[in-house]
Amino acid sequence: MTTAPPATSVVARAVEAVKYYGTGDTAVLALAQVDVAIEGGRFTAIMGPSGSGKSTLMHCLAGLDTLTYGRVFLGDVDLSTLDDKALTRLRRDRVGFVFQSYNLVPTLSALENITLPSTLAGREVDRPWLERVVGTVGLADRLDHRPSELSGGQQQRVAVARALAQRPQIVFADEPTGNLDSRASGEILGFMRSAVDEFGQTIVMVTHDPIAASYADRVLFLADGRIVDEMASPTAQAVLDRMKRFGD
Amino acid sequence: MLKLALRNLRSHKLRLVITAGAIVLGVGFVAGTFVLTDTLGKVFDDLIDRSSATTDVVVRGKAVFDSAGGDPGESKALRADLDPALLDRVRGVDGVKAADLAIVSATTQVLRPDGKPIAATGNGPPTLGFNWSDVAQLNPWTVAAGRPPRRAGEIAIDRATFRKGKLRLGSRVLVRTPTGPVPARVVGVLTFGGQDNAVGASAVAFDRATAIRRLSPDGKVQEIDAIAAGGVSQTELVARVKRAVGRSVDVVSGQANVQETKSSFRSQLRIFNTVLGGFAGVSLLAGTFIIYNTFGIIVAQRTRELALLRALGAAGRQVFTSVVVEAAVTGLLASLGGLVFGLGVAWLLKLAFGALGVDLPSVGLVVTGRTVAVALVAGLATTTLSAVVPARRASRVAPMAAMRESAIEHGGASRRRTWVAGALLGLGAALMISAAVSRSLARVAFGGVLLFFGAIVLGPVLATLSGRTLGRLAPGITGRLARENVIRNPRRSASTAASLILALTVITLFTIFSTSFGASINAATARGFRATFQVTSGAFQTGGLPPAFAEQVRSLDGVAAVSGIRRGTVGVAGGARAWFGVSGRDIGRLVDLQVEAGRLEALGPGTIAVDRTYADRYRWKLGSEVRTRWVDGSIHPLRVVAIYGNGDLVAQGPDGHLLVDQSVFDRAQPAALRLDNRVLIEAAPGVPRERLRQAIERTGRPFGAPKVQDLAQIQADQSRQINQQLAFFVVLLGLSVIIGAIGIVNTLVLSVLERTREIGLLRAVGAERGKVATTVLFESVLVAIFGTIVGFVLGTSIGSALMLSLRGSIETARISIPIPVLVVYAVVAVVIGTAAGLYPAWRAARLDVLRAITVE
Repeated sequence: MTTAPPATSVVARAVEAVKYYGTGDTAVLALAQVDVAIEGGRFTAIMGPSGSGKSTLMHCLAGLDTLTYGRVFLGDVDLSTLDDKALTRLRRDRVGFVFQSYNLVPTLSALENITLPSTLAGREVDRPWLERVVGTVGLADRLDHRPSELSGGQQQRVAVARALAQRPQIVFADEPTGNLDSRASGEILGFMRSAVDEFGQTIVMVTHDPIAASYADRVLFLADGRIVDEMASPTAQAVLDRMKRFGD
Repeated sequence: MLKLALRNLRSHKLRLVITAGAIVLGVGFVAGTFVLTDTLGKVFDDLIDRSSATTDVVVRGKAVFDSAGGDPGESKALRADLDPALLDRVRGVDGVKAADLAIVSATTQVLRPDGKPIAATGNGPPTLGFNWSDVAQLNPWTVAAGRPPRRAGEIAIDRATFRKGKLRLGSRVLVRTPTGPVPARVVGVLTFGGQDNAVGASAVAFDRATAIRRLSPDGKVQEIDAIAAGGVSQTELVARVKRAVGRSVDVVSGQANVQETKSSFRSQLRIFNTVLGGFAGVSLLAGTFIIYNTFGIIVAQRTRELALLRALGAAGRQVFTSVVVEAAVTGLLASLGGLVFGLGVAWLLKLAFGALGVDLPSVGLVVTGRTVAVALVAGLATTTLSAVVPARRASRVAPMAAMRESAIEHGGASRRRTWVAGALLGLGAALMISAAVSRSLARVAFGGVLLFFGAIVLGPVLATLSGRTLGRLAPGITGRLARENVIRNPRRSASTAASLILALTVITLFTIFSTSFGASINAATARGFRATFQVTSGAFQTGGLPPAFAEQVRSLDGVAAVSGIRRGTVGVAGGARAWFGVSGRDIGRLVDLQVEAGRLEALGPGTIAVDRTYADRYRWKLGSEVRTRWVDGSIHPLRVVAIYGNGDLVAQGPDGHLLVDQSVFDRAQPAALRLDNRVLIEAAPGVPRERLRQAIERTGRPFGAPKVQDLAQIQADQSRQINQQLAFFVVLLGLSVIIGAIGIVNTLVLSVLERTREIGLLRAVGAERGKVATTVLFESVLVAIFGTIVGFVLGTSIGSALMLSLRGSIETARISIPIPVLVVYAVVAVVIGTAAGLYPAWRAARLDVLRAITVE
């Protein structure tokens, strides 16, 4: 691992985050009093077994889901104070997303997909930045293609470019390599890594792949809705060993 | 597999409701039509039973035109009137308990002080005058207050008119009759089987002597009715009366008479039923497009599930059956819903009749087994058949498709599709052009159908085209996304718009035709109308103003020429035909008939004028003798003294082939037809128009204050009538538009469901709910506009070809395209498109972002 730029500030944090799904007797506790701070300019991975609450934590941090108790801050904004419209704007202006199933708009070209958030916001696209991002993910000759004309790896590169093109405060990636083979996975993770290294981008990634987690600066381990461990400068082997202990 | 089909339905209740909704409306319209006609049939059967069921024997004139041939629709039941002296002979027959005359006039009404009739005129319910009979079995009316009329100057009237005119027993009124105005005192109030009038028909009863004198200009009567003494059968009595009255008149049993009246009324109802049924058929067809489309989308969305079934060992046949069963159950439920809806429709129509003054008495709605059967078969058959093609597609899903990543319906326009569409459109257009040249209506109809289906087949191409062009009108990223959504699956967009295209095509066709027809008629009127004024009786086709009116107008100062126009039936060239009685001396000055040979002024006793069409068809020339058969059966040769080009203005229709002087006409027709339907008047030079108009109006007051109109007013009236008719048709077709809108709702709801993840993504990366909703709304409006434009083009083409093909019968035929009306339709289409998009847009906006993204 190359040395990461020094963490300058906390970009997102959850304070005593509690999340129940359902109500009454059937309620399921997904997050049990989680306190977490995501540092800026760093690549954080969240890991844990199925049902550990890792996706819930990410969704709540991203303003896609709301907490039952506790608070989430993005920068200095308390998300619990925002209504749906303000949350939408906040996502548009400050958050980037990468999903497992790419989630591109099939009727728009690759370029249009990348600039979609700006278009939705009615903002001018920062051309030089866009070219730099596109160049980084290596899509320059594919920009006119529709998603259906691209391979899975290429589609996910478009999705990464879309997330980065906004220069968001934070990018959330939900199992970004879940649908890809190992070669394409490596490429995508490499791009995310270099976005952190070269652009100082903050990235939070949910994954259960130890190799993917090894690209991160820091790994948070979740189990039963709690953060049970964390690891700095992880290696795939160390993560795998830690994960195995959940089975005990 | 049956269980699977049912479970699919149960788990998609909303889709079931929307899909079925389209069929419910169509079936409801069909069922409502049948319920209404059956109910009307029952109402009038009851009316006929009440009026004449107790009569045992009817003596009447012979129907001379009963043979086949002649003009279709021309009344063949016309009969000569009877000499009232026959009554004594009938009464003298052994076994006749009682007998009385029946004198009925259809143009007798009590007038208000300003001369206008109290009861409605025009094409509404009949306005009857008759002789009061003390034989209760021969008289369906009963005296509710006061007493029956006993002597000249006394009348009894129906309670509805009595109340509407705010009359009292003893009130002095003026009654218009076929012989002119009659002053009278109201001495009695009548009810008909407990009702205030006879299904809307008003009634004025006179004593027998006055009735003969006032209702019958020649003192003759229509019928003599008799009842049998105990123990004498109807058949027996008919035989005895026949022996007494001789062979020159017709004697039938009361039963036969009732059956005859009922069946003649039923045949008129059938026409009504056919017209309404045609419109119902259009809505049903619109519904089939929706079923086809919905099941197409469902099958596409379910491809993986179907493929899995195949992989697990289901035969293609079983998959096919499961889809068809699903459609059949939908159709069955929809048909039942449609039946209920149809009852509602019929009930509303019944109310509408009430508002028009036809109070349908306490008869409930009549639902026959036939109605239920037709509704069920229509609903079930259309739904099931429309699902056959999608079901076939489903049965061909390869098991491999289960393994594939996504299974979104593909398909733009294949080359074959374009070829088929091109062939249909080309053939349709060729037929239309040849129809316009050869003036063949059949070719227009056939060509129109080809054109329509050609456009439907070409739909995907047109949808892509209009998505690309129209879509640019929708602004911003939402517009862009909406446009792409229309284009991404042009087949779906096209079949969504299909029902709207159908509705708009028919509406535009009717609109173009009506407006053009109105313009053509007005142009014909402008060209041929030479009179200063026309007085309209308001009666439909036959009957109207007594000859006394025209005579009085003739004697007014400043009148140069006058001719009444009477319509009747005559036997010519092997059948019953319409003919017209005019003033031979004046008609040529009042109307330009484009006389080609001879002189109209020569019309008088023993002569006739014929139009070019008949002259050519029957090889008549000036001086030819035309054998005419009159209502009493006698044959009279009439000499042709004029051949004219066009009699439309006299006939107010296409059947103005024969013209005679009224002196001939009156001898050949029963009294009820010796009335002027219209009177044309020419002012002498230099006479102030308005003063003459006032004088005519004053003259008309005791005759029911008929309308006095100049050319501009006639034209305005004609346009108004045509527009009213058009409005009626458009309202009936409105149901198809609603069905089209349901189609849009249905497709968009399914599309939104299908695009859940895409919408979730848009929301995740920053599209507010409003933007997502707008995208769906735009798509809805785009589809609606697309359907409207294609409908406009099709309707305008077919309507124009129709007008061109009519040049044979209407010389002044012209095409008039009412742009403002079409603009209104377009606006309505946009509004409907927006309305149709509201619900799907709401569903899209309401999607939970998180669930939408994570959905598999």
